[in-house]
Amino acid sequence: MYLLETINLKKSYREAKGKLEVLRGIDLQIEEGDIVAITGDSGSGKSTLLHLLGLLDSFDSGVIKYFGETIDIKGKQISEFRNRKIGFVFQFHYLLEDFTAEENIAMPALLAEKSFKRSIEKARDLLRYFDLFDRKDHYPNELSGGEQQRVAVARALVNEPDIVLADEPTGNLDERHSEELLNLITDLNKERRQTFVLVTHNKEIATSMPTHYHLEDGLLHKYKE
Amino acid sequence: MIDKINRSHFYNLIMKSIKGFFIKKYIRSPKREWLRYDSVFMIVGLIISVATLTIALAIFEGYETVLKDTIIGANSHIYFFDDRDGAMNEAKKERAGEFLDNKDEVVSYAPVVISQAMVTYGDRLHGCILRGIEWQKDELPVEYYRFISEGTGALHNANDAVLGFNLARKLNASLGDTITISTPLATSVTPLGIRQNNLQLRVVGIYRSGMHEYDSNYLFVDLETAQAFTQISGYSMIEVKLSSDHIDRADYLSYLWRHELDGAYHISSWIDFNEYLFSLLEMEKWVIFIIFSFLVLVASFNVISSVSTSIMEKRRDLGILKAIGYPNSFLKNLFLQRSLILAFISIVLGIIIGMGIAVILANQTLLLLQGDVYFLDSINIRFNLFNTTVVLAVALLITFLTTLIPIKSITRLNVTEILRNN
Repeated sequence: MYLLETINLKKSYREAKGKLEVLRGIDLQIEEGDIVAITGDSGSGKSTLLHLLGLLDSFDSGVIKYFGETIDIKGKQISEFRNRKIGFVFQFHYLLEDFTAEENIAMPALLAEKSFKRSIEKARDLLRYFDLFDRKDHYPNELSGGEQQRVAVARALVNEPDIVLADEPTGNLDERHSEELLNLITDLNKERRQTFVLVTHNKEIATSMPTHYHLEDGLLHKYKE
Repeated sequence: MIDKINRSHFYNLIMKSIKGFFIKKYIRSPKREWLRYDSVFMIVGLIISVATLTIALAIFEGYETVLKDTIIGANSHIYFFDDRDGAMNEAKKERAGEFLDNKDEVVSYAPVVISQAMVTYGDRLHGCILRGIEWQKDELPVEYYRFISEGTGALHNANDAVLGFNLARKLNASLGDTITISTPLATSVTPLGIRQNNLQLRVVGIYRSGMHEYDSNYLFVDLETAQAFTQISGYSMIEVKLSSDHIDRADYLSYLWRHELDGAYHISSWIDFNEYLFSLLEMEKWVIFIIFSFLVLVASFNVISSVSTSIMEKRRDLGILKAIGYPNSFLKNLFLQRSLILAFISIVLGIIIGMGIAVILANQTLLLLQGDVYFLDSINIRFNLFNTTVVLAVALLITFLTTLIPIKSITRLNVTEILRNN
């Protein structure tokens, strides 16, 4: 059984000129413990696909299944499902400026754990793992770009989600920090069997991942070397 | 942070609520978000409107209470008149006395002679209401001694008189002066011509109740002096003072006693004479409350603007929180509670400032009421828990309802759009 599966997923946007079909039937299967890289040109619909996989947006037609179960995107429990099962990492870290590093990491756990103390403990464990413990009381603007993105990854992991969806996680980092982050992702995958979906326009990064898809003309193609 | 939490039990309690944590972080944000101009407008607007409402209600409540106290104090509560609209004779007075002696509601009663007269002092002349009273009584049915502001209320000599404060000022008379009263009703024709009934009185005390009407007209003399001067053989009426528990049912008692006495007396109560005044005051108080509540409503438009701006500024945060699973209801509640906390603080401040200004108004002497128009010449204030609670509740309700308008937009925020555009 696949962790995540999409069947003939379609998504279009209404524009002044007419309907813009971004995804024209996506069939994707992601197994537990995999790292899936999705590449594509700018505007090809990579982020749209990631948002659909993360249940952040509605789609025109098709099916999304988590562990074989069809997900109702308009269901009342969708926020809770997203909170428990999916972690997100965005290109521009998207940390909350009014909260410290450990509070940012604890944010998803506050909802899941309903305990401030337990959430902070989990955040601190991750800060230690990511070698950021001494930065726990720092606000996002007091952290370097690499540190910000590591905090964002830690936030995505705090609820021990089934899958982490990362949208251009290295897009805003220099080469050294990019490499550090990718090593972190592969380490997490090896040590914790954490499943990742990485959207990137960097083919070099994508090809280094176990599974690589390329999005073109609204369709997904498995990349073969 | 856990170390910090453990240090303070109070902090721990706050932290129990995740919403409390968010609100605290946003209100105490390093950017001092609540000090932004739109939040300041909201806070200042609420403070001013609530303070105005508090002042208006305190003045109205004070006016009503003091007026009622003065009217109840300066007057008796039930009046027995002769049923033939004339003077009451001794026999009827005795019968009424026997009747009243058996009534538990009655604290005291006394006959009184009342007549209009002219009073002159030097070249000044004024109309007055002459009240002949049994001043020797331990407990008079009217507050007489309490309102003696100068001299004495005891009228030991037949020509001793107590003069109303404003009347004394108009006549320019003071303690020890000799004034003359006269009445055209008791003139007599003599072989030497028409003899005007004049009486010379010595001012031994000044009466000041605070009621402009009474202080400008009353002249108190001994009961027998009044009877002799007005040539009333008997009494104008019997005044009855009720115990405090029964003052507000004086109209019912007067109705009851009229029937018990088979209509032998014409019996009225203080309520019959002042009912419309107090109904009007009560109505005016609530009209003022409603009108000034509109001030709070206008001020609450700033709440809409403040919350809308805050939602716009926190758009990115809201998008992130939605993405990581925070439901719309949680986020809406967050803004609602933040708004209500700021509003609560503003309203309480408004009430405190309003009370402070009301106290200043009551103690100043520059702005006074026109006694001949408003009965009282000083500004009196009263605060009561009911009015304060109503102000707090209404202002909070208005804030609550106006906050609901902008927070609706949180549901419509599109997460993917926010994530893309930021």
